[in-house]
Amino acid sequence: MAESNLAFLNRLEGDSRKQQQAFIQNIASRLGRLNEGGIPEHPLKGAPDFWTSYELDYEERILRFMDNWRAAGGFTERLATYDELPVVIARTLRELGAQSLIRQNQPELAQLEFERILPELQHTVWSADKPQQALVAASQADAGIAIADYAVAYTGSVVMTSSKDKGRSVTLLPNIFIAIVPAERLKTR
Amino acid sequence: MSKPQGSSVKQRSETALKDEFLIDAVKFTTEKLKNGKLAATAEHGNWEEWRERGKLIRAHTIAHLDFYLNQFIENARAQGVHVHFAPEAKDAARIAVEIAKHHQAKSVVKSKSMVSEEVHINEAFEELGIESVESDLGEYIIQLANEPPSHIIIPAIHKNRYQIAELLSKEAGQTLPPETKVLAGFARQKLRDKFLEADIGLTGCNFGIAESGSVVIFENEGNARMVSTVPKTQITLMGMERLIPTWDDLEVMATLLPRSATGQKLTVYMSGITGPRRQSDGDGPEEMHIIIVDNGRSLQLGDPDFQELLNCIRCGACLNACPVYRHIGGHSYPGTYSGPIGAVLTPALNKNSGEWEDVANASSLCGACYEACPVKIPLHDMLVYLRNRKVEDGHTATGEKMAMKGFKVLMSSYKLYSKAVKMGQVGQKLLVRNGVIKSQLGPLKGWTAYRHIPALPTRSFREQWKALSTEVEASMPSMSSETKTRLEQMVLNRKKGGHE
Ligand code: SF4
Repeated sequence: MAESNLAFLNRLEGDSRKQQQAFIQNIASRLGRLNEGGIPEHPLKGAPDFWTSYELDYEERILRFMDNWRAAGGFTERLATYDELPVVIARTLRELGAQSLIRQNQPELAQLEFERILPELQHTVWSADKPQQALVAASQADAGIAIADYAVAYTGSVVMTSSKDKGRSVTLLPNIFIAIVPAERLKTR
Repeated sequence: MSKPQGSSVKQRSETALKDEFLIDAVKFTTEKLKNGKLAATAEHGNWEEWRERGKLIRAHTIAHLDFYLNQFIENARAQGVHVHFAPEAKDAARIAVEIAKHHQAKSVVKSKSMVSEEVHINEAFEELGIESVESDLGEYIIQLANEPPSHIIIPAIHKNRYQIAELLSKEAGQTLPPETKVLAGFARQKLRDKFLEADIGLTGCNFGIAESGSVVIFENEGNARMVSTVPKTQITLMGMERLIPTWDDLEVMATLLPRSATGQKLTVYMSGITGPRRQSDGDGPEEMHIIIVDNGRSLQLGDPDFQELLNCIRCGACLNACPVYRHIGGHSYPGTYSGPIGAVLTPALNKNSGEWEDVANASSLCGACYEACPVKIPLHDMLVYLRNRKVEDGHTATGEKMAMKGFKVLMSSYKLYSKAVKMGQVGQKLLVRNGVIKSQLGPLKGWTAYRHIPALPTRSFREQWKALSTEVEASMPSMSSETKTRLEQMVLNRKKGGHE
């Protein structure tokens, strides 16, 4: 009878734990230690001080982010209020000829009522309860929309974490990706 | 896999140097990458401080690799990752194949990973009839050409768009124009279908974060993120030295790696993956395996000459800066890794310097690799140590051995040396034209094929010394007694071996 997945994983886990000691011991002895060393001091952790104290002001952060995003090949628009979002997004998606849209299951996005403002599009909301369906929808959608967790001005990057309501596929699989970056989430570095 | 013919670097280089397409393609792209790096580092500023910090973080991690690796393993396990150990290349391939077999996988989709090349994972899957598809565009191209990568970052650097169009047209079953956009579009569509079908996603790993057991992958095409998002099972191959202690340290690596590799501020995607899909998540792999590979890396630990080799972050900047690589391309080097890092890494990982023959000689020792390296690895020094070991292990060519023996005899006897110089002065008369020797007769050819030999002067330095020294002494101000005593003391000290 074929080995069950659990039995298979347990067997591999057992092998792994058996090998770990020899593997680490070999490293320790090569480094001239009899056993693995204790917790090492790591005083030079992370970026140099001149960098950790580097801070752009609010306005600079926005401008720098937009410049860098464009330089990397993207488009940006700066909006004064959330109210302008639906119009701009609808215009952008129509211009790009999108016919289907998938969005993260974020309450701020629900409030934008895409279904109402873009009735001609096919709409899907990311749902972790039906993973296979959600994956297929994301792979077929022309556009994906998400609210960024953070954005980084210095490199022009957006940070997307995944969770039950935020699928990686939404920001990855569609050809068009629209990230909404609340200005207060924009960090210098 | 097909690679240029020839058993030595020299033979393969000779083939490469005749290939104009290759030379032009490599020169064009390395130049672009090199200039991109220079511009990006200048714009960012304080580059030397960043390099120094990068070097210190990597050196610290390697010096405590036992601790950080254990920490990484425990944290990854706590997140639900299955961790495996591969002391040798074959172990890594065996474990990956076992996982694929258990899941009755029909296809594996891969993102770019030099370790997977090192352990020949594609061949291992193919033997079992499992399709293994490269999803990085460059890797896909060379997979179609049945060739190994010729650059750490740009695996198909040696191909121009006409050659790529030919390869992809065969795959498409129709003629595709040699336009980058069309070619990339075709490959993307083709690969996209493969993602959705694949049972297993196989990735490499740029950095492992010890404090959280996470894997970090830098890439530009989004394919590695797809490989680690869509298939149900993910296998990550990680060289055991890929670690950094903390996420704070990643900021330094994320500053150094993309700028050094391609001149970007950051790659288009940087994914941090901490374990497989959590129960509530909708995507990501259900099962995640990390295979930690030694395959000769531990041999460098504790070796004062080579431990720093493990600091490498595989950015490829040393390749782009190397005058030798830029001429002969990556396939002239033996093994998976090419350029200056390959010239040191390949023999180092393979224990036996003799077997790898002339690769340590494929360098002018100019130090451009060190200047380019974001973590300051002294590759040019290591190449000298390698040459030294090669000689000590008795792997020198017979001709070179004889020449060195002759040189030793000549240089240990003044009389013999003078005679040889005299004979040279007479003998060269037949060959000297306008103060240089251009003749390619016999053993002279090795030198004169590419440059001229300056003629021996009619009077040697030694013959001139008597007159010169009188002149020097006459023009020198007399030495103060204090200086004289100090110098005499120094000479005395040196005679005692410099210990007093
Ligand atoms: S040796 Fe330095 S320059 Fe070369 S690939 Fe490694 S980190 Fe980059």
